[in-house]
Amino acid sequence: MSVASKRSPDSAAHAGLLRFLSRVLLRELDEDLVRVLRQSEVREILVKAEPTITRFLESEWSPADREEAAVEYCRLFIVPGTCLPVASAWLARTGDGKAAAPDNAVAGVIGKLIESLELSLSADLKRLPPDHISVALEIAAWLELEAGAADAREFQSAVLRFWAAPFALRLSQVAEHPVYRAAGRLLSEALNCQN
Amino acid sequence: MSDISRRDLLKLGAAAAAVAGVGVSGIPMVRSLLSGKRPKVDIAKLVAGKIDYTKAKATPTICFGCTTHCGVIGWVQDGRVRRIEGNPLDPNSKGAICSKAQGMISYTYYPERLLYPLRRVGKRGEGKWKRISWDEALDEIASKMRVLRDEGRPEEFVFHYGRDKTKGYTKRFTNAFGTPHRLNRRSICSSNRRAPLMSFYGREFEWETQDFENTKYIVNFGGNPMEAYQGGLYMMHRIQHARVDKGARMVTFEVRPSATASVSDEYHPVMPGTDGAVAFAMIHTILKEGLENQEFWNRWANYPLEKLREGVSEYTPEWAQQISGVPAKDIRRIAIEFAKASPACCTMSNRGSAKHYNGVQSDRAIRTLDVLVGNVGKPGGYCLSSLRGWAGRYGQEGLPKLSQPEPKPSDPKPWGLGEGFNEIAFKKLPADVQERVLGFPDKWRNSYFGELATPSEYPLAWHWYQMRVGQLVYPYIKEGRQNVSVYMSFTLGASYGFPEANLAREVLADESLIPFHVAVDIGYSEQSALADIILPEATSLERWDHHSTNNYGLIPYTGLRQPLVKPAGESRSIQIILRDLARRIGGGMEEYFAFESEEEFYKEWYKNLPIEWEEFKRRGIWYDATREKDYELYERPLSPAELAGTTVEGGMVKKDGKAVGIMKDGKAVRGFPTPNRVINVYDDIFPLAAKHTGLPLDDINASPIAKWGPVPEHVDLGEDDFIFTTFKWNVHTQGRSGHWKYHAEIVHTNPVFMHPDTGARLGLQEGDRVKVSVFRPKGHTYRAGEEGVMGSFENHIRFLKGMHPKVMACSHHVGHWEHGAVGRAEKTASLPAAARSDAAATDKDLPDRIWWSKRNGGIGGGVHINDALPINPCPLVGGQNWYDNVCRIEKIA
Repeated sequence: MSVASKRSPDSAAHAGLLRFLSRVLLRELDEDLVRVLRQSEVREILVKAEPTITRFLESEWSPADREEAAVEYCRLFIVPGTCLPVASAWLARTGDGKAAAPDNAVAGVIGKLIESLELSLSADLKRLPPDHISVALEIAAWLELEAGAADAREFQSAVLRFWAAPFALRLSQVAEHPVYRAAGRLLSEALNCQN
Repeated sequence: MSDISRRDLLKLGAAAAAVAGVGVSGIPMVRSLLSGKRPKVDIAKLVAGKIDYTKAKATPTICFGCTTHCGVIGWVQDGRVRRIEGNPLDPNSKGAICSKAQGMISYTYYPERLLYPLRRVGKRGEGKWKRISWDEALDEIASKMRVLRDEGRPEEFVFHYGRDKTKGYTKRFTNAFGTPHRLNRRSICSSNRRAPLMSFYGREFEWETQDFENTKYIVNFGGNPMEAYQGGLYMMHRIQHARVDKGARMVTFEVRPSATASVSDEYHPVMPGTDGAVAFAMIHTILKEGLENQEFWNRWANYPLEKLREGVSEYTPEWAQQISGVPAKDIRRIAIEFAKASPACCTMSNRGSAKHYNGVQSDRAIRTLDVLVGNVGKPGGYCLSSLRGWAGRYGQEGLPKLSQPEPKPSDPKPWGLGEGFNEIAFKKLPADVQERVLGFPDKWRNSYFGELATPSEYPLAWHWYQMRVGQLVYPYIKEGRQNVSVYMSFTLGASYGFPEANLAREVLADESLIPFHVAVDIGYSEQSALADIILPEATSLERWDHHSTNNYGLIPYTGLRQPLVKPAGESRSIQIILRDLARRIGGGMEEYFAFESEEEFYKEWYKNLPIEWEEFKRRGIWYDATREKDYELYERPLSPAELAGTTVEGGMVKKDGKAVGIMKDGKAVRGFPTPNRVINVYDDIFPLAAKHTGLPLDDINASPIAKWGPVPEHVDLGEDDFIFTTFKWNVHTQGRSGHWKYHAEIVHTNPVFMHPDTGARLGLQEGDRVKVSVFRPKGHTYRAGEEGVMGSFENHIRFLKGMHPKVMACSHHVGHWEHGAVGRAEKTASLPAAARSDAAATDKDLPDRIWWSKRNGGIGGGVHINDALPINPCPLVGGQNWYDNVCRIEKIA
C-alpha cells in the first residue's frame, strides 16, 4: 500500500463519519460532543438511527444526565462483560483463525502501522489500548483521507473485519442510552458502507 | 436500520467532520509526522508479522507468574511484550521458566483489564461504576484517610494484600500513616510450615534451601514443586538433574498422584494428616538401627537424644502403617536408605503435611529427621540460605548492604503495656481480649497491635514475625473486634479464594462494617467488584520491584524487576499510587515519598552493589559467584568485628545482652540465629502459648517436642465420610490466573478426583455429577463446637488411580464469576448470535476460542468451592487447615 493523498468528497464525508463515531466512543459524553449531536444535520440522522434519542437531544443537558451517560459509558466500555470496544476482547472469543496471538494481533498491526507511517496520536488516543475502536476508526479515517478508499478498505479488512461489526451490533442491542444505541447502529452501517 | 441510507451517512459525516475529529485545540487526533514521500506499508504483511529479533528489544526482569519469581527476559517489539524467556544469569532458575511466566503477557494484555480509576455509583456490589480521574480518586481517598490520622485513630485504616513483592514499600506507607494493619494472607498459605522452621532454626530461616543439586536421597512429605511451591522451579530442575544424571532417589508421600509424585522414584499414597506418623516411624527406625548422627545431635540439638528415643519408642513402622496406610516395610526401608545417604539427604515438606490440625507438629517431626541424621547445612543436605533483603543479617555477612532509601518511617507503637502504649486503641478491644493481652509475657504484650494484626488467640502467628491470620480478618471485623474506616485491598482475592469466601463478601458488602473500600487491582475481580473505588494497577511487566529470595544454589543474589513497557491505559504501579496518596494525605507522610520516579527509588536501594546501575539493569541479576556457598553457616567462627564488645556467658557469646554466637570446642562460632544459638528441637514456646490462650496442655499443638496426634475430624471416620483436599495445577496460581487465556485453555475446570474403587463403591461412574457437602471442623479452632455441614457444591467427578481411597481432591483456581469472559468461561457475553453469523460469514473456519464454554457445548469454567470450606485456623499458629475437611458425596440424579 502506498500512501498518498487521494481525497474525494465522499471519502472525506465517510472519513468524517468514522471520526465522528470515534469521538462518540472515545470517552464519556461531554458538552462539546452534545453540542455536536444537537446540530440539526447531525441530529436528523441520529433520530433516524435511534428515534428515542429525540428526548435526549431536546431536553436540557443536566449534571444528572451527564452522570447517567458516564455510568452507561463505564458499563458498556470499561467494566468487563458488556461491550468492550477493543479488538482483543472480541478476538479472544471468536479468533481470526490466523493470528498466532489474537490478543496481540490487532494491537500489533495498529502499533506497527503507527510506527511505519510515523503517525502522531492525540493525547486522548494515546491513553487508549492500541486496538480500541476509536483508534482504529481514526486511523481508518486518516487512511481514507490521505491514502484513499482502497487502502482504507484493506485496513478494514485486515483490522476491523472480524470484530468491529459484531461489536457495533452488540452495542446497538445492549446500550441503554440512546446515544450509544445510535452509535452502534451508525457504526454497523458505516462499516457496510465503505466508500 | 434500512431507513438509514448511504447518503444519510455521508451527510452525517460531512456535518460532523468539521468538529468531531478534532480536539478542543483544533489539532486532528491522528496526523502524520512524515513529510514528503511516504513509505510503502503492506498491511497484510503486518498482520502476519512475527517477532523480529533484529528489532525486538530484550530486557531482563523478574517473573510474577507465581510466588517463585524467576529471572526472565522479555522481548518487546512495537511497544508490546511479545515473548518471555528465562534469564540464564539467574542462579536460582538458571534460565528455566514455566508456563506461568508467559501468563504475564496474558494478564498484561488481558482485554478486559481495568485501565482507569472507577468510583462506585450504585449500591456496593451492584456493579454500577463511573470512570474518574486519578486526582479525583486520590483526593477522595486521602480525605477519608487524613481524618483518621488527624483524629488519632490511624489504626482504622487497614491495608490488606494478597501478593506484595515491593519488599517493604507498602510497609513504608502503612508505617508512615501510623497503622499496624498491613495484613496479608500468609496463614492461608504457609504459616504452619514456617513456624516449625523458625522454632528450629530462627527467624532468618523461615524457608529451607535444600542442596538438591548434590543430594542422593529426598523424602518428600506432600510437597509438590512440580506444580506449586514457592521455589518449585528452582527445586525441580535441580531434583531432576540429581535424579536423572546422578542417580539420586526421591520418595514422595502424597494423598493423590501429583505431578511431583509422578516423577518420584517412589510414591506412597498416604492418609491425609498422617505424614507426621510416617516421620515418627522413620525417627524410630533410624534410632533403632543406630543410624543417627550422635555427634551432630549432641552438638547442636537442644534435646537429649535418649529422651527422643524414649519419646518415639511406641512409634514403630507397624504403628504408622495402621495410621497412614504406608506399608511398615517401606517405612523402615526408606528410613534406613535416608539415614545411610546422610549427609547428602534431605526432607521436603509443604502444605501437604502442614495444613492440618496436627501439621505444625508433623512438620516438627519431619524437621527432626534432618537433625537426627546430621545433614543440616551439609553438601547435598538440608541447607539454609538467607532469603530476606540484605541488611547484614545472619548469613548475609560480606554482602553489600541493600536497604530502602532514607528517610524511613518508624514502626507504629504497640498497643500493649510497654513503651508507647496506645491506650485509646487498646481500650476499644473486647474485655476478654484485654484481659488475655494483659496476661501475656512482656514480649507479646509489647508487640501487640490489636486483633487483626496480632490475634491474641494465635500468638505464634506473630511471635517470630507478623504472619497474621488472614482468614480471620473478616469474621473479626464482623464481630466488632476492630473498627475499620478505610479498607484497602491490594492484589487480594479474599472474596473468591479465602475459606468461607461468602463471609468475606458479606463483610465487604456491608457499609456499616467497612464504610470505605479501595481496591488496587489489575482487573475487575470478585474483590474489586465490592469496592467503592478501584485503582487500576500496573502489571509486573510494567513496574519496578526489588527481588531477593533464598537461592537453591546457596549463594545469595538479588534481582531487579523493571518495566518492559509503560503501564497500559491509566494504570499505575502501587509505588506511584501510594507515593501520590501519601503526598495528598500530608502531615509529614510526604517526606518518606520524596522521589520523583520509581527508578530513582530503586537505584538508591541498590547503590551499594559493586556494579553500575545501568549494568545491573542490563543483567537483571547480581551475585558474587566467587562467594563461598552457604554450607554449615553455624560452624563459621565469629569474625573479629563480630567479636568486638562481646562477652561469654554460660557458653553463649553475647553482645548487648543478646546472643550472637556460641562457644564450641573453645571457639566462638555463629551457631544458629535462635535465642540459644542451637537447633530448638524442643521449644517451650508452644506450651507457653497454649497456657496464655486457654488451649489445653494435652492438645498436641501445646507440646514442646514434636508429638503425634490425629486430626480431630478424622477420628472415627465413617464409611461414607471422605477427606476433602484441594490442590493446584502447574499452569495456575491461586485465583489470579483463571482469566489467563492460554492457561485457562489448558485447565479450566476442577472435577472432583477420586479412586475408581471409591467411585464403584459409591455407585458412581466417570463424569457423574455429585453434591459435595463439607462439614465444620472439630478441635480447638475458631467457632469450636459448631457442628454440621458448612457448605455444599455440585461438580462432576473423575476417576484417578493412585488416589488415596479416602480422599476427594478438587482444585480451586476456577469457577470465577468476575475477571471477564475467560475467567467466567463465557462464550457469548458480548457476542450476540447475529454478530456471530456476521463474523462467520467472513471466515468459515472461525473457531470460538473459549471452546470450553457451556454455551458452546463445553464443560464450562469450573466450580467455585471456597464458600463450602470452613475457616479453620491451626491452634496457636493460625495457618488454615485446608486439608482436614471431611465431606460426603451424594450422586445427583
